[in-house]
Amino acid sequence: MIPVSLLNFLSGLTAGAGINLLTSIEGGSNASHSEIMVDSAVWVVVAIFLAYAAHLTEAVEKEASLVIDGSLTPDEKRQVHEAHAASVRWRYRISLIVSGALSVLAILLIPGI
Amino acid sequence: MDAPTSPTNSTPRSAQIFIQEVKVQREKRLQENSYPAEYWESELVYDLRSAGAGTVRVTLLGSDGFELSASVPVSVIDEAREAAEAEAEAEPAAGNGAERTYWALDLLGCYLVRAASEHGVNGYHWAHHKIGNGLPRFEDVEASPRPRGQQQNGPDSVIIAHSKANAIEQRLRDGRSVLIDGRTGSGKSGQTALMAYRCGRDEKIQRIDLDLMDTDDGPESVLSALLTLPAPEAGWYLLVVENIHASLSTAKAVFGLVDALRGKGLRISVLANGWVELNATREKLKFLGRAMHVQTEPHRVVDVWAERAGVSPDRMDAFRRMTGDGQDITLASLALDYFKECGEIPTDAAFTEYTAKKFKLDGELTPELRACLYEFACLGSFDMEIPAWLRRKYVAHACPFGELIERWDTSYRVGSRSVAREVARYFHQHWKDDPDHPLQHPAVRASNQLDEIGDRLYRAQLDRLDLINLTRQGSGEVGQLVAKVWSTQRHMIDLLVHRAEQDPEWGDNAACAAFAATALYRLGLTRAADECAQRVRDRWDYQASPMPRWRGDRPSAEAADFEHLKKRMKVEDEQRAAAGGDRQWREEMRAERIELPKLHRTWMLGVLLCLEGADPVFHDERVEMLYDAAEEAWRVDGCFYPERIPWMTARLLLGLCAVGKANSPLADKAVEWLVSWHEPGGGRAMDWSSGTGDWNTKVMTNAMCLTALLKQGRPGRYDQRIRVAYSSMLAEMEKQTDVTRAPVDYGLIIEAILLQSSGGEDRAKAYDKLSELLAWISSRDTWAPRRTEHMAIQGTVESTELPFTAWQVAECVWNLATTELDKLYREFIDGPPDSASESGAETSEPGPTPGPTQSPENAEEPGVPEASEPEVSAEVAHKVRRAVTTIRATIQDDMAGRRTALRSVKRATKNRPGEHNPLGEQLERYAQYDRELDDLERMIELGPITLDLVNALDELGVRVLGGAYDRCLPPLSG
Repeated sequence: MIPVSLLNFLSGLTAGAGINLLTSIEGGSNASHSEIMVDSAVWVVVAIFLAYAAHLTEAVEKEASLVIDGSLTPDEKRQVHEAHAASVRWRYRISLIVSGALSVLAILLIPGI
Repeated sequence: MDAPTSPTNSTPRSAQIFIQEVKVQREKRLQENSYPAEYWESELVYDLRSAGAGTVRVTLLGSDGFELSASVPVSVIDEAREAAEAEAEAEPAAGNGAERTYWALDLLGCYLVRAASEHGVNGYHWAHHKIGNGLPRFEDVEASPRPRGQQQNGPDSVIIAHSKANAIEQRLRDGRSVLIDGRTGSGKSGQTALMAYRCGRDEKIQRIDLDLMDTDDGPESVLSALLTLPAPEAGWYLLVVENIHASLSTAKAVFGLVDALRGKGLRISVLANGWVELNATREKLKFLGRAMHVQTEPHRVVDVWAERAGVSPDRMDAFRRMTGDGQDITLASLALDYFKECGEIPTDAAFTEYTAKKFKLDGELTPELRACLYEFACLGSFDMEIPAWLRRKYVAHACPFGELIERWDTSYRVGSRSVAREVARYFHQHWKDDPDHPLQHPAVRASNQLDEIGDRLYRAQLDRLDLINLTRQGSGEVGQLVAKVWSTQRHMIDLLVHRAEQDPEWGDNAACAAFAATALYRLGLTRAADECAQRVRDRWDYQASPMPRWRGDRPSAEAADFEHLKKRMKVEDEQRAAAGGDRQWREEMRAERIELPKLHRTWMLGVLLCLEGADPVFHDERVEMLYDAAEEAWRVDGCFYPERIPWMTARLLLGLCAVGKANSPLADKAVEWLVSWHEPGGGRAMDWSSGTGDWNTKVMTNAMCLTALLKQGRPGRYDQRIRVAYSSMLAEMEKQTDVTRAPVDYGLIIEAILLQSSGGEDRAKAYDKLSELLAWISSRDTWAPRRTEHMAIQGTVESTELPFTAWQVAECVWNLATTELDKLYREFIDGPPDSASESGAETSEPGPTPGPTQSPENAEEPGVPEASEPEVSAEVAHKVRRAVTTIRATIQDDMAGRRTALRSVKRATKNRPGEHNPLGEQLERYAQYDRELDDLERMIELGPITLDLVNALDELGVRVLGGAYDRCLPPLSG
C-alpha cells in the first residue's frame, strides 16, 4: 500500500491545483470561465479520491495496531496487516484508479493544452 | 479552650524559674521521644498568672480537654522549686539533663499535691473543667463494689482463693501494689471491685478509679482526683486501675506518677487488673515493680456450677470447651442456662442463637437499631471505645437492652467481651447478606473504626496485639514478629529523630529531608516531621512552572546522585550498542541526550507528592499545584520523563496515590503506560528494567512498579502481568541474600510482597527480611556520621538510602501491624483457623512432600516419574512452583493476545483467514504448551518432584519464554 503521507501529499497537491485554477479567473485569464471551472472541479474530485485512499490506509494500520503487541512474531504481525488490508483492497484500488484516470482527464482539460 | 499564655512579668521570679525548668525538661522529653505515644497529643501547657497578693494562679491545660487551675500561694511555688533543686543536686546524674528529669506533669503535680496536703491548698478551690472519664464518681466511692455481668450470681471469693484474698487486702493496706490478671470473662473486674470494697469496708479511704479502656484516663486523672478529693481519714488512697492491657504506656505513666507520689510521702496503694497475657511479657511490666501478681481461677467456680446443674462427667469436657476451658464465667453462666432449658450442651451455632434470644435480639428490630447494636457488639468484642456519635445514637433510640449494654462512666458498652462477640456473630450471620442494610464483618468494622479514631488508639490497640500475639495459638513467629518489630522500630525512630533534629536540612539534601519527613509523618512524629518538611518546602518552589524548582545557587545535594545515574546509563547504552540489533534506546533517550535537571525535577515532583500525601494536615493548594505540574509534565512528554526509566512513572504514580489522586485520569494514564512499557527491541513487557544500568537493579524497579500498580488499586485486567512480574521479582530476590547490601531494594520488595501476598511462604520470607532490614536500620553503626555521605560521594549508594529505607520500613511495619490486627480480629470472631485446613495448607509448602492422595490410577499414568527417581531440594521445589505460575501466566497472556488478533483477522477476512495462518498455528502451539503444563503441574502436585520433572518444566519454560525464562536447574550437560 502507498504510504499515507504520500497520498495525503498528492491529495493536497491536486486540491491546490483546482483552487489555483479557480482563483486564476479573478486574475484576468483569457480562457473560458466554464472550462476553467470544470477542470478545477475535476482536480478537486481527484483530491477527494486520494484522500479517501489515504483514509483507508490509515484505518487499516490503526485496526492492525490495536491487536498487535510485542509478543507476536513478525509472521503473525504480517498476517494481521494483510488481513486488514485485504478487507479494503477493492475500495482502495478503485479510488486509486479513479484518481489516476481523473488526473489524466484534468490535465487534458487544462485550457490551452 | 483558651490559648496558652506565657508567664507574665508579675509572676514571682522564683515561680518563673520553676515553671521554666518544667518546660525545658518537658521539651527535652519530647525531643527524646520518651513520652509514651498517648502523650504526643496531650500538649500540656502551664500558665501562670498573678492572682493577687501573695498568690499565683496556676493552670494546667491539655489539648485533650484536661484543664485544672487554682490559686496557689507563692510560698508553695517557692517550696516546690527548692525541692526540685534539692532533688536535682541529690541525684548523681543530675548534670545529664534527661536523667535528672521527671515528667513535667509529675514534677509539678507531685509538689502541688504535697502542698495541697501541707498548706491546705484545697481551700483555694481546684477547678477542673473537663478531665478524663475516669474522674472518680463519688457515688461509686461510697457504694459497694460494682458487680458486673454474671459475677452477681457466682461465689466470687472462690475465683481468688481466700488466703490470696487476705494477702491482697493486707498488701493494699500496706500501701503496695497488686495486679489481678485473668482471661476475658474470668471475673477480674468483679474481684477487683470486691477487693477494693473489702479495703474500704472498715475505714474511710479515698478511692480513685481509672479504666484504661477510656483513652481520656491517665495520670492527669489521678492528679485531678488527688487535688479535688478531701484528705482520707484512714490516711491512704486506693487507686484502682482497670484494664491495664488496654494501654501499657498509659499504665506505665500512671505507675510512674504513683512512684513519684510515694516518694513524696503520699500513701497510695494500687489495685490493677488486666489480661492474663500480661504475664507472658515481664519485660513490659517492669514499671509494676514488685507488685503482687494474682491470677483468677474461675474454672473451680465453673465446675461447681456445672455439677450443681447436673452436667454429667462425660459431658463435662464439652462444657469446658464451650466455656473457654472453664475460664469464662459469663459464657459458663449462659451455657448452663441453655443446659437447664434444653438438657444438652449447646453447639457453637445454637449458643450464638441462644445468646441473641437471651438478650431479646431475635425479635423485630429496625435496621437503625440493629446497626446501632451491631456497632456496639463489634467494638465491644475488641474492647474498643464507643465513639461519641454512637453513644448519642444509642440514647436517641432509647434501647431497651439494659441487660446487654451498661453505662460505664460517661459511656456505654457491652458488659462482657464474650457476649459482645456472640452478639456480633449473630447479627453478622443473619444480616450480612441483607440487600438493604448488609452488615460488614466485625473485623472490618473494628478496623474501620480504628481508622476513624486515628493513630493514637491504633497504637494502643497494637500494644494489645503484642500481648495477645505472645500467647496466641498458631501465631508462631509472625505473631511474635509484630511485638519484636514494634519495639525494634523504636530504636530506628530514635535514630531518625535524632538525625533529623541535628540537621533538618540533611546536609542540604532536600530528598533526604523529604523522605525523613515522610517517614516521621508515617510514624506519627509530626513535630520532627514538620521541621524537615518545612525545610523542603522552603527550598523547593512549588509554584515554578512547569515543575517545582530548587531555590539556591548550588544544586541540591541529591543532584550528585543523578550524575552517577547518568554515568551508569552511558555504560548501559554501550552494552546495548555492543549487543547490536534493535535493543538500543531511541536517540532522545540515550544517556548523552538525557536532561538531568528535568529528570531530577520530575523525580522530585514524585517525592514531594509523597511528602504532601503523608502530612496529616492536607494542604489543598500545594497538592493541586503539584498535581497540575504532574499533568503538565505528562502533557509535554506523553509520560513522566524520561521514557526509559519506568520507576520514574512509578514514583509519580505512588505520589498521586499518596495525595488521594489514585483514581484521577492522570493516574490511569500512568498505569496504562506502565503496564505497556517494554524495552526496545519489542521485548515482552513481562517486567521492568531500570533503564539506569546498574545504578538501580531490575528487582528494585519491578518492586517499585508493582507497588505503584497495587497501590493504585485497580489493576484489574493487568492481574496476569502483575503476577508474572511478581514471580520474576521473587526469583530475583532469592539471588541476593544479604539485605544490608541493598536496603533500598529490600524495602521496596518487602512492601510489594506485603501488598500482593495475603499469606503463605512469600509473606513469611518478607517478614524475615523485614526483621533483618529493621535490625540494620536500627543500628547505630548504620547511622554513623559520614558513612552514607562518603559512600554517596563515591557513587556506591544513593545519598537518600537511610531516610528512604526508614520510610519503607515504617510503611512495612505499619502494613504488617494492620494485617495482623485484622487477622486477630477475624480469628477472635470466627475462631482460630481449622487445624485440618492448616495441615492441608502445609502440603502446598515447598519441599518434597509425598503425595498423600496418590492413587494406583495416578501411578499408572504415562509420564509419571517413578518414586525411585532422585527428588530435588526444597529450594528447587519452591522455584518449580513459581516457574509453573510464571509459565502459566505467560501462556495465558500470549493466548489471550493471539485470540484477539485472530478474531480481528477473521472479522477482516470474513472468517477466511487463509491457508497460511501463523496466528492459528501459534495458538495451537500454545494450547499444546498449556496441556503439557497441565500434565507437569499435576505431576508436581502428586509429587515427588524429580529432576526429570524439573528438566521437563525448564524445557517448556524456555520454549514459552525464551531467554527471559529463569531455569530452576542449570541445563543438563550433553
